[in-house]
Amino acid sequence: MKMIKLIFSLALLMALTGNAGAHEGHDHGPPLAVSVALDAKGNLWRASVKDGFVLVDKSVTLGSLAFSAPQKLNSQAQKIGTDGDARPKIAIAQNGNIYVTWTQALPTPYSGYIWFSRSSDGGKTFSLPSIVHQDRAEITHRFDALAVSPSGRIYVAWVDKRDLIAAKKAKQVYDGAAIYYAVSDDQGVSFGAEQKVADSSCECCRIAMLASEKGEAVMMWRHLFDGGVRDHAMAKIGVNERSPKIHRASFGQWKINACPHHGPALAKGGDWGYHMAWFDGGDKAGLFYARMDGEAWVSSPAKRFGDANSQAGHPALISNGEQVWLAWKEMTDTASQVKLVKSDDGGRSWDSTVVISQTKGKSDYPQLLLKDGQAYLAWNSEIDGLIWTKVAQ
Amino acid sequence: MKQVFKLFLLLGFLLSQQVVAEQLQPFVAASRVQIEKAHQGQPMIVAFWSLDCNYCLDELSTLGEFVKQHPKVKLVLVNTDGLSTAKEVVKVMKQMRLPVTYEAWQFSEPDEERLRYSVDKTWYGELPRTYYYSQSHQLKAVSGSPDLGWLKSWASKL
Repeated sequence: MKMIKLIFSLALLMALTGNAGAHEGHDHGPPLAVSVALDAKGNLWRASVKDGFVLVDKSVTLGSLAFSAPQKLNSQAQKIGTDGDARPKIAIAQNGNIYVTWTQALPTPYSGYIWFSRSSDGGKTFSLPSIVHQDRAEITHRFDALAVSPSGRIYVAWVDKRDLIAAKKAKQVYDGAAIYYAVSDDQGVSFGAEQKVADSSCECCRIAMLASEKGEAVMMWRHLFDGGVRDHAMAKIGVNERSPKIHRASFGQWKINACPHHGPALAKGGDWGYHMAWFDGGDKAGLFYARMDGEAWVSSPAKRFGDANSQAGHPALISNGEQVWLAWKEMTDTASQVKLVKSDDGGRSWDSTVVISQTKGKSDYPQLLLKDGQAYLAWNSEIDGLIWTKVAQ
Repeated sequence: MKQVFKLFLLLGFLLSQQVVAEQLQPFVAASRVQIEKAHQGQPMIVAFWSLDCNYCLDELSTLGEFVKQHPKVKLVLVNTDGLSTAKEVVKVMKQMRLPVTYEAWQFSEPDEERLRYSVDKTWYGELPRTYYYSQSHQLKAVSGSPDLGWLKSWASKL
């Protein structure tokens, strides 16, 4: 009898121990981290993640949104990055091809593969996904960025730790991770071998990337400068580039050994260069904007936007000629808001800040798109769904 | 049979040792105040960390060693990954084998961003994020890995 009691209490103990994982399985709905893009007809395409699958669906943008039945891109469920700065990406080429990338998290901590899928029939069907990089070690290949140039060239960039691991093996010091990219010149049928842009990037922040008419790409990322300063860097990748030059883009001097989970935004300026927006932490924490001269690679003094005490961050930028829109997210005690400023002179001067949307409950980071020369906000939210609203002129 | 039973006993004992340190308590908007009240008059370190943060595990092991040398300091770990990762978080905490007992909490509200905001409006999500409470609960917030010199000087004033 005694023995039975003992076995019982031991069993109970074991059951309790197992209880630590009892939260597992609570469902708060699918992740809110989505990406959107417009096609030439003005349809809004969305890439999202649910139950381990990347989904693509589309909606007309006249009136309220109504999405089609989604297509699953991966045939087997994966653990897909949707936390912090991670999200699936979608881009649409001028010929109507649709490209999607995402990061699959692998069992080893911080490790991942970047996957790619394409549709060459206007989104009716998508190709079997393939891994973009040739390096298949179970290490960090994460935080995919995707851009397609008007000429059709596809760039995929990501954060990669192969050089850190090689340095560790050789007992050498290596700070941060690296930025790598791969290019496809055959509409995504294949990608060339990956190339390195820069050593010593931040490990956990999204990369902002644009592709130009000429088929070049410009990237901006949080970099690890000397002394552990996490300011931003930019590089332009020429069509036949082998060793792109790295330019310092921001000078906030945020020195920190931490994961900020907070990457920058980038938009094309006139023929002079680029608009940049980013977050800096530390004593001067806040959201900043500056212009970058695309020839001399000199940036204008950083201009602060938003209320740092309301968590102003996660910027989005879009431009049309000399018009520029900058949006970001802030928190109030009861809701989250997207605030916006507009410039008509290429970012030299700005109108006053307006709140363009607000939602209670959980929300994603804002995205800006351009449709018929007009800026639109796309903002995913738990309660109000995907908010799609024309930004006041 | 007897040996099997002994093994069973041993297993049960081992598991029971871990349950104290590694059962996750749900961290909600009111938890910060609750933790502060529970350890009033005691120096305390509250460390927020994530599985996804490669600086965090090093930080936690530094803090574990530090608290071992300063046993009057209470150590509280708060994982920010959210409920669906509980199993993995428990596994990682077991692997860490911190040499001290600690409280383990995990973000347990659906809106993790808002939860963070309710903890501290000037915390922007960077990790590790650590709060150092003196005996009188004078508070110092630190983002990133702790500076060992600073940690020493903080300890000398306790």
